[in-house]
Amino acid sequence: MKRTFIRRFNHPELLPLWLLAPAAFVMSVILIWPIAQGILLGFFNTRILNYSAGRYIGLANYEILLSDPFFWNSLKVTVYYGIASMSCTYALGLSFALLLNRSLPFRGMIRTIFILPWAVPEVVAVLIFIWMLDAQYGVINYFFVEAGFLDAPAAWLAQANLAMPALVLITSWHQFPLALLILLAGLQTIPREEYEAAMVDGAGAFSRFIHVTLPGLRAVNVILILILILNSFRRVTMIYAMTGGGPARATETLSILTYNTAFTYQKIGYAAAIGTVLLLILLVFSLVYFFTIIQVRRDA
Amino acid sequence: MKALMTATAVALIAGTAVAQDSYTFRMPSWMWEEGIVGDWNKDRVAAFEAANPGISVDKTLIPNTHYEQTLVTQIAAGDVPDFMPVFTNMLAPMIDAGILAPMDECIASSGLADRILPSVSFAQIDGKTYGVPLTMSPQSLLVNKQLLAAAGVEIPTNLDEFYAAAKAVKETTGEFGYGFPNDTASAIHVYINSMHWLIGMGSDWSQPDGTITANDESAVAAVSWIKRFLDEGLSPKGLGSKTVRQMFADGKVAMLFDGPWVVSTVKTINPDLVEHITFEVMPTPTHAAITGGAFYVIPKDSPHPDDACRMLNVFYDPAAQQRYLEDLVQIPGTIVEPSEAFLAEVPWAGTMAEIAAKYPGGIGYAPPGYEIQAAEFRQIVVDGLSRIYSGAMSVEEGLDNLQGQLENWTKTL
Repeated sequence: MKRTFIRRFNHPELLPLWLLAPAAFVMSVILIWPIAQGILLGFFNTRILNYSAGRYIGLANYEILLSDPFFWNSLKVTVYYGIASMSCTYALGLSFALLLNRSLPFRGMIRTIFILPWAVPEVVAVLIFIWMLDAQYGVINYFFVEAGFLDAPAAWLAQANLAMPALVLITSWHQFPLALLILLAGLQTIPREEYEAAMVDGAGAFSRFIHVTLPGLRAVNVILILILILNSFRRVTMIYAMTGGGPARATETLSILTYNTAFTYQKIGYAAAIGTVLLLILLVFSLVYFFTIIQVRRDA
Repeated sequence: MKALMTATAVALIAGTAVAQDSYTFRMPSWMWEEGIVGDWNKDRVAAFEAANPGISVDKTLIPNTHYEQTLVTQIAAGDVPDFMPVFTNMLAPMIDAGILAPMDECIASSGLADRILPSVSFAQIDGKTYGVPLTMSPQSLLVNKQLLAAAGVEIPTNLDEFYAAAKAVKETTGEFGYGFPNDTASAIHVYINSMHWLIGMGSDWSQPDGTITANDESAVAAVSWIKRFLDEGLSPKGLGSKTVRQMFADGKVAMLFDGPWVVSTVKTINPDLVEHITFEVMPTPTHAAITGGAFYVIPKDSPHPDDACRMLNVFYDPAAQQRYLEDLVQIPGTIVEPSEAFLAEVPWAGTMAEIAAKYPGGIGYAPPGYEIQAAEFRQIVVDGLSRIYSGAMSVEEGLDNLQGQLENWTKTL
């Protein structure tokens, strides 16, 4: 009996499961358990300072959330930030990838330089940009005023209509090397023969880009766009360090709203409800990403 | 052999006893590196450590902009310090959550009861005292007399004179006449700076019964004045308190509404300017001053409450309190008689004491009727103000909008 039991568990086919078990256990403890706790907390009316005194209120937090203008504002801001930062990052990444895909002198060195922004920690990048954008002493204002683009220095991070473009710009600057690397790798997988055949057919540079390059990057594009959107939904450090979600909630994404609600307003139960909604949104994107990867592998 | 074993056992027991006695006393604060204020605090800690061998104090620095948030999160996670200072606006939510220990026994045993400032009443609920005032310095008009003299104007006593003085400084010297911090990333600072004007006009964002008064006539007048200074370039745009104080210390801003701690910053950065600084009565119609202040508290779950009480005694040592007034030029938490020499050296100290006596601590930092939800209330106010300051809405439109937002928010409580 005992021997049969041991034999069953020693089966070679079970070996991968045994090897995965420790990692799965750690993941459960540090990831799944807190997520479950967070979802549960969303059903309680509790403040961070008297956490244990919270009372069960069912779906009341979700009812409040549906009529909360700050939640809808954050959702709108998140979508705007996600699409704008993804578009700018993609455009920058693709431009430089096309440039670096050609034979250039010092190509290795140029590639390294382009990747540098990615290596700069987010907080360091933000601190540098905060000074550069400073309303009084910032070099960006100095340049714009001297060049005649502005009559007076602009308060980039204090004006609701300027803060988001500034944030998108910094995000794109910081993460375009990621897009560059992925797109460059994608460009190098497009067979040279396809370009040669297009040239034989009389296609110009723009036509080759539209009919050869873009279709060749289709799989890479989908994955990259999903990664960039997921990143923008999850991003906290950069936005919090730069604007804290302000001015006038112009940069308050769902992640920042969750953070502020939990730790500044101390409404941990309500914050958990917002966090759960954010989790569901991210889950949808993750599933799309997951099935896209499977599709790409199948196509390959 | 037996003797050796006995000696070893004695040494082990003694060693364990010493190990039990020595520990790290944890005291977070925003003040550890604040120039001479930091030095005063470190000096007190050194005195405590000298009087309590074996106890070392962990001086955790938390920036004042994130102090409440960081501390609350730590305490909620069970990481409770032994002793800590808190801003006045933090008291109500902490008392309400039941995380502070009553300090009455400690106060009685320390003999502090007769010396503590009357502002202690802000920390008293149901006959229990949950905090002892650390400082109750008022915030009022700080003036760089050199810049005003260069512009040929006197110290202003009303708003028309204040505006004229700020304009004259800008036109004559090119420096800013008035430094109004308006970087909306820091809600507490923008809120407090709006309060100078609101209470100066006899208004507030709310009333003690919870009525929202964000768009009343006085509030509109107050915010219109602020907007005028920003729009006419008499005050810098988009800068936070820290930068504006730095500019004042550098002689680039002539007037500020702030506390006497700015003089400590000037002493550290630009000591030559100190003699040209004065602290005057607010030029607003009511002349009312904000006196937020701070308190020392002992958390209910403090691992070493008895030592926390000893630490309190060290901080309230009469000689140290005298130094707090005369070296730091701030109102300490206990009643201190200023020396003749000090009054001669700092001629405006008398004015500061009069203002402090007239406007006791606790005014301005927390919205009346919403003390426990103050952080969220302040954020909504600051959101509204940033729309007005940036020009996205007119003052009237912005304050009507803010009134509606605050009223809607109160319905969710």
